[in-house]
Amino acid sequence: MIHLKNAAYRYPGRHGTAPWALDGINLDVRQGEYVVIFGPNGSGKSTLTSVFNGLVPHFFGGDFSGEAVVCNRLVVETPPAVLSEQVAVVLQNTDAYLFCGTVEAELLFGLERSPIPAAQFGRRIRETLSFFGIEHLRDRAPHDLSGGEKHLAAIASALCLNPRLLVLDEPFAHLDAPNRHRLRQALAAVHRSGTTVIVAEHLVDDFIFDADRCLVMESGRVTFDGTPKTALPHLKDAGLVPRYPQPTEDTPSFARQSLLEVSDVTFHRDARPVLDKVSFTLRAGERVAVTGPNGSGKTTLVKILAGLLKPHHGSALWGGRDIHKIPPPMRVRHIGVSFQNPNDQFFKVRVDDEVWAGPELLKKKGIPADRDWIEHLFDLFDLRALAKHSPYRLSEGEKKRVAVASVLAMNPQVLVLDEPTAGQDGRFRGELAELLNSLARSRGIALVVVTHDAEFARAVCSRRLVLEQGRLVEDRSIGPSTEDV
Amino acid sequence: MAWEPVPAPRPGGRLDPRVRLFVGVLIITAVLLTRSRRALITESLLLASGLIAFGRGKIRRSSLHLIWPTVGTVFVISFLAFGLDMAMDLSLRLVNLFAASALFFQTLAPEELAVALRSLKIPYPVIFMLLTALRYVPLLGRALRNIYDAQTARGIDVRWRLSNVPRLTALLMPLLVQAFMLAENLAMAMESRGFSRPARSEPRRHPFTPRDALCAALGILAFVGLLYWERRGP
Repeated sequence: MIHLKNAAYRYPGRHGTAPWALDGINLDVRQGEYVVIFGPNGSGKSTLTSVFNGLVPHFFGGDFSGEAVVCNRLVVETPPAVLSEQVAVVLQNTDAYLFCGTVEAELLFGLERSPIPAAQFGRRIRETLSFFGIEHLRDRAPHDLSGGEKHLAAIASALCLNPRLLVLDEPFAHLDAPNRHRLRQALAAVHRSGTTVIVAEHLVDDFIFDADRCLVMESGRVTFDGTPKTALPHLKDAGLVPRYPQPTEDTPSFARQSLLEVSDVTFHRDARPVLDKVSFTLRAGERVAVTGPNGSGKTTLVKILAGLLKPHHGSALWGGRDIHKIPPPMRVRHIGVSFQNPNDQFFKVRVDDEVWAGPELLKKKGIPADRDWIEHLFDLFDLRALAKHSPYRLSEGEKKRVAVASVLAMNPQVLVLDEPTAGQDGRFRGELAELLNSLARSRGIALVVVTHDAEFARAVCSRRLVLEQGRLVEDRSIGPSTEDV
Repeated sequence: MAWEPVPAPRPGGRLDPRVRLFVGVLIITAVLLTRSRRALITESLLLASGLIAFGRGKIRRSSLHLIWPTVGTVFVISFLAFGLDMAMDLSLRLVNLFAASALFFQTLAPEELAVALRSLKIPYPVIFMLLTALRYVPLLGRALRNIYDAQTARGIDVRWRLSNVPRLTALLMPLLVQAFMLAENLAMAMESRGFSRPARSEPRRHPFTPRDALCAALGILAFVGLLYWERRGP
């Protein structure tokens, strides 16, 4: 099915001593195998998946050497359009992958370009949607679907063409636990049907045990190729399994005064309650995880805490004052919020300018910047070496560090992080946990961490709030003295 | 035999998409050609009735956030430049154009628009570009909202105020970068999914029925009648 011999690839514009994205890859995959390729961000796993359908080298250009044969075709001589008849690659960005108006049109797009007779289209579409249990999504616009539904629709659009090889690039990275489970079952079913399945991921989860084989990549090389049961030490060595610090109790040295008071907060959207009478208090130095399935109201709560939304009922107060009534420049001195996508924040061409952007604006409004603290942040977040780099050209972990540092530069007393570990590898998750614990210990910064990542929550937080359908269904301690998350 | 999918239900969906496209173009042309205020008001009433009859739901509040400031700006500028009469006419025409566009897109799904344009022998890459632009506008709108929230949450005031104009780069730069990233990812997806392979099956065709012909004829009659009434009427 796949034969790579000493395959090496370098992206265009990188010459001389620049590292190779793929460096001497030898790989053979048999028909019907289920292979998972693990690797930290920047290890070359996405580049490798692009070789399987010819995007490398045909789409990207650059230098390719060695031998690559996929479905009995030499990749360097076969354009992606031809390979796509047998190889389906589902890209990480499903918003770009699904470009038609409805889920049905997505499936039809491939069918109209395949040798399959038009008379069979209807049956194919029905069977494929039924296989994944998504018949009800048939007429829905892809952009209106949830993350898990988008992935299922993308896989369905690839599979209705009966490809011999299905390749998925980081399909689990941004999904919550129920959607991960759903996708895992779908992939296992595809594998059982005889299709060769290759998944490139950095999130280590139970789905690994569905695979026949596991590869670990680092710096463009395959460092492990074996069974999933023997992979764990290698995954740890590659930094894919986070090494979290021991959970600690809240620091008692701070006054523990109440900072945020959320009482009976209710928020509606289209007459549907997104948040329903949510109440809690946050004290100085406290570290709180907010968890719950997709659509449970977590992001709405973050926006209310950030003063971006005004609750329809109830109140969210800072020092007895409605948060949304505090002018933004003053608000960020109390509550700093870093959203999930760091690219939403960057507008400067250098990292140091990005970190200083907020404090510089505050200075113009007569609020002096704490220069020592900001310089300390550069050390704390390891940004000195990156100071002159463009934020857009950093790795995902580095971007996240810059984004959080630029929020902390305003010296807030509460830091709210929305899904800080989404799309991040294990090494970054471990480092971020260390950083947050250190901030809480040394400065008494209160943390609100919205996350699907239960292990991260346990490593960082001492209290957990669980939202379900907009209601606060649980508020309990998860400190080291308690057993579970 | 070309396969006929079951289209998503749209108001007026039983009409041939080509007829709906034709009538939509007639309505927009009528709005652009109208000169008198009474005709503009008549059009407003007809379009409002159309939106109520065919509108699949409420017009999104986010759309109104865009429309009313635009109409307001046009009114103020034209009032200062040309006076009240002209300001009212121009604003009314703009409202009618927004309403006609809303009616057009509420009664013609992008897939149906593609079918209509393909049957008119418009090259597929051109149709694809048009539809992709239409589909990704809401996505970029959502990205802009996220950027606005992210910047506001870090203290950068990007509210729609004159004093904040120098800070608009904080909105536009991330949006531009994300649009480029989306374009590159879209190109990769198109290449991966065999966009450059020509479609082997015929585009879906709808039979052109006497009902379609009648609707097209009524559309022409109403168009000519409106312009005649406006220019020659009492």
